Amino acid sequence: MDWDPLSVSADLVVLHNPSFLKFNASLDTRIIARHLVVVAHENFLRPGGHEAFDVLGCLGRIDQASVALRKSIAPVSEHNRKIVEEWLANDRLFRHWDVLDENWFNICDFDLKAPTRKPADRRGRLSRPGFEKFPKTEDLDLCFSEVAEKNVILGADTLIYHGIRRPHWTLLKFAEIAPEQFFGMIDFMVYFTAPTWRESFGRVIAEAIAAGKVVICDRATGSSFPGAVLTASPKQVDQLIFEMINNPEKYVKQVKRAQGVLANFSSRRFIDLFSSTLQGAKKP
Amino acid sequence: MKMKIECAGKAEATLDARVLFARQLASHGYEVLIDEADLPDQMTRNQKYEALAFVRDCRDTKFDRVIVLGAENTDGATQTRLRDVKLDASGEIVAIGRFPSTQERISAKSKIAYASGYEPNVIDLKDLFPNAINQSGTVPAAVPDTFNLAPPVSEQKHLCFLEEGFFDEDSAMESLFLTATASRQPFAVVTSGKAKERLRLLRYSEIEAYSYSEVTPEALTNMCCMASFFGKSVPGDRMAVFLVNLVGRGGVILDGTESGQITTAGAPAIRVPAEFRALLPYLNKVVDSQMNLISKKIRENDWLASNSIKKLEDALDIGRPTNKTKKSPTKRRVLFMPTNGVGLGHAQRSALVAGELSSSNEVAFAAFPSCVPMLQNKGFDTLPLVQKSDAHADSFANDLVNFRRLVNHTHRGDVLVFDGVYVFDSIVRATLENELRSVWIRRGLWQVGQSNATALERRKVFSRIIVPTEAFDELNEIDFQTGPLHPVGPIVQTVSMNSKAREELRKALSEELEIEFSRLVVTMLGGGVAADRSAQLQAICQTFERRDDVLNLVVVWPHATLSPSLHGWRNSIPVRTLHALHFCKAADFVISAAGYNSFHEVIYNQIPAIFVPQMAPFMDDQERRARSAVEREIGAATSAEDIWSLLRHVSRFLESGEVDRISARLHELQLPQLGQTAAARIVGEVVHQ
Repeated sequence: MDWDPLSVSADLVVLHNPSFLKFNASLDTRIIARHLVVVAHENFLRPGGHEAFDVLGCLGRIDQASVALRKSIAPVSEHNRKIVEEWLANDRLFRHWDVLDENWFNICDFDLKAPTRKPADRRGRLSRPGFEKFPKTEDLDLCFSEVAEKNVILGADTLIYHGIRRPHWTLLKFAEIAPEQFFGMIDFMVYFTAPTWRESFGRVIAEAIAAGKVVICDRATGSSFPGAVLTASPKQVDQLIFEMINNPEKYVKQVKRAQGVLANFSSRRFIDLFSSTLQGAKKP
Repeated sequence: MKMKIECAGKAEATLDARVLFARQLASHGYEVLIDEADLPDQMTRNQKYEALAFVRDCRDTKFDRVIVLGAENTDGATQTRLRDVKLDASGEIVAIGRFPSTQERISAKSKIAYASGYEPNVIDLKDLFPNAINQSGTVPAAVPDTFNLAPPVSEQKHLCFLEEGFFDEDSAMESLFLTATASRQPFAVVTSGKAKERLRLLRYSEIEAYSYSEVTPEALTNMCCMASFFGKSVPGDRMAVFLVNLVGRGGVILDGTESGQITTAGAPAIRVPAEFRALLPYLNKVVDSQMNLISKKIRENDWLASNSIKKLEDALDIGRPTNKTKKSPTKRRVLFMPTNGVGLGHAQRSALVAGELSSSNEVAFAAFPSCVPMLQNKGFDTLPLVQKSDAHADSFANDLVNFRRLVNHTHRGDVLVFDGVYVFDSIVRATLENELRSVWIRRGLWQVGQSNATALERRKVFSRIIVPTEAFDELNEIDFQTGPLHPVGPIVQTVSMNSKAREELRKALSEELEIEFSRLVVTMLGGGVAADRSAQLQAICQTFERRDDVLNLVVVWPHATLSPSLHGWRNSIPVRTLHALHFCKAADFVISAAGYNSFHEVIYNQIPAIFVPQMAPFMDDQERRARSAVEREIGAATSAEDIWSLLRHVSRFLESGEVDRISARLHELQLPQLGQTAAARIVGEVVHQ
């Protein structure tokens, strides 16, 4: 198969993330398909309804370069679905596109680790180092407070570079240690992002749950994993952790419940989902 | 409405844009700040003077608006600066840029939102001002609504903007000189710093010239009613802001750029030939005869509204400022600023002129610490200035503070009277930025070969230059170069003391010091700033120590350093005083340096003297002054190095009747009238101009 072919013809053509065209004037590959599915890997809109990238431009380039009986957008989570629907509802040019019924979630086939039975106030977060991944410094201070035994931030390149440090923080650059090592240092994953950005799925949350950790995040970010995370504001983090370490049973129960939720994102489920879409595309 | 100005990109590359925009908004009455944490490590002298008004520690400040210029260049460093920005409840970040595509606009918006946590309002300058003069500029050049400004304070000039390359042409200087001297309007050149320096070093130094960064665009606007631009284009955002300011004031713009940049944008300007040589005939034939019509056309031009500050204010959603202009008091103030120099001479002279001003004037001083007590003793309100110090990071750090003090303590139209040799940046900038009418009291008698080029170049900001002349004609020069020169008689204080008062003072000294004497000598050889006179003083004290009839008062200014070796003599007593002249008047004779003040005070108060000139590269020619006294036989003089000669003179003054002979000649001497009244009259004229 050619890389960047001039033309792609198939019953089902899947384009993973339309934002790859955001700096291109056109899509130079001609697509002919029964069913074209564009996966909304990145949220189209940021909180407040602001465009996260030039969605109209990117989808327009795909639309112009493709001939298909059906053109669909596959959301990756419930939160992401709402955004796709909101965006399509506000744009008359893309009324011929539909939204798939099922979410094309991230496959989360992780080995599940048992939770500790003696949780301590050992907190941490793991992410890429971009500004969008971090809340304001005052919120970071609340999430990783002096009362904690340990605060480990992996992916803190930006904080390190710009001198945003605290004596009670352990700042590590992205990939400075392996995720397993990181998860070995913490019992609570406290994950808040910039209020102006949101995860479309939140794979890092699934990773933490699989590693046997309790995850605390904001309500919207946690909506991809209903029942699997504790939702709170940064102000409530200290109290929430205090309650958990004083009630280890509750901690264990929470991790087990969360790991049960991860079954919804297994490769088996995804194969079923994909097969059904493929079958649908083959129907005359 | 409190605003912070940011600009995407590296701090050193964006400072000019930030300051330019801050000043533009501040001149409309908004409170605008630049965070000191965002200053580059290296700043030029001009940048420091211009940025200072806006720089604050903004760590705990909540803003109504944080404006990010050049938002299309938002990078990691910019995002870091925005990370902990604090906004008021209704505050907003505004990202101003030129975005080549929708995606780039969204990218800039997102990056700022991620870093700050606030969703910015994005303004694309291409949409806001599609016909801007600076089509690729970072700073919005908005036309102020200043048609109704009060009449200009200073004489209105024609400013001609010339690119550096202009001066490479063979005939450039001749045509420039011709245009500058033959124009109906006073003419000045605005060009690069390099080109300005070339102009100064050439024979054409009398052409008034400013560099782009020497004066703010607002100050340039204040001084002119017409501007012409030659070369490829209007040079940068800074000059574009000047241009819109001038258009906003109804000034005339002549577009001689090769591309016709100004007229092509639709701005109200007159297209003139791009050849500079054609300017003068064009001015004479076309512009001068139709000024009223041209002004009318400018005011009616639609371009003004489509590029107005109102549009920018609406886009920023900042309403109209409540205090559009700094309120001027109804009464004009006269602020004297004497330099500190070697002693208190400049301050003394200024005080004499100030004392002669009509009581209807509000008079105050801005003075260095050494002069403050003396001026306050004379009853003048005195704003203290900061003394230069080796401990400062910059040699001009004190002048930066003094500049802000002068700006904050003066109002448009006030009169600033500077007495000194070197015109500080603070004086030039305060004069131009606050539209002051400035007067320079500048004594002459430069030493041969002494370089005063920088000082003299700055005469351009003064509306009058008062030259206190020397008492003797051969010491006065006629300087045709210095324009608005106003020579006046020597400005010195005189003390009248009758023989009874003289005897009482001598008696009081004798009682106070418990020294019997029949001869009183006052020695004042300076405070040791210009030269060390310890050896001479030692020799003098030693000579007097052998006699029983002498009291020698070694007089210095109150702040001067006294050598420990001056203490312990039986009949030589060191005295720190502001009233040296009273002791001199009571003395039989004085041993004195030959500075302007001490020399003329001695002569005008008819006190026999032995002059010991002080010579330093930065001082006036004291040797010539001392020589003129010797030639008239009204004093003796000796070089500082010739101690034996000095002691011979002392001996003659004590023994041979020399003092009486000199005293008699001093009483017969015809001297020019003192100049303080004339100087005060000139200052008064400027006040009521």
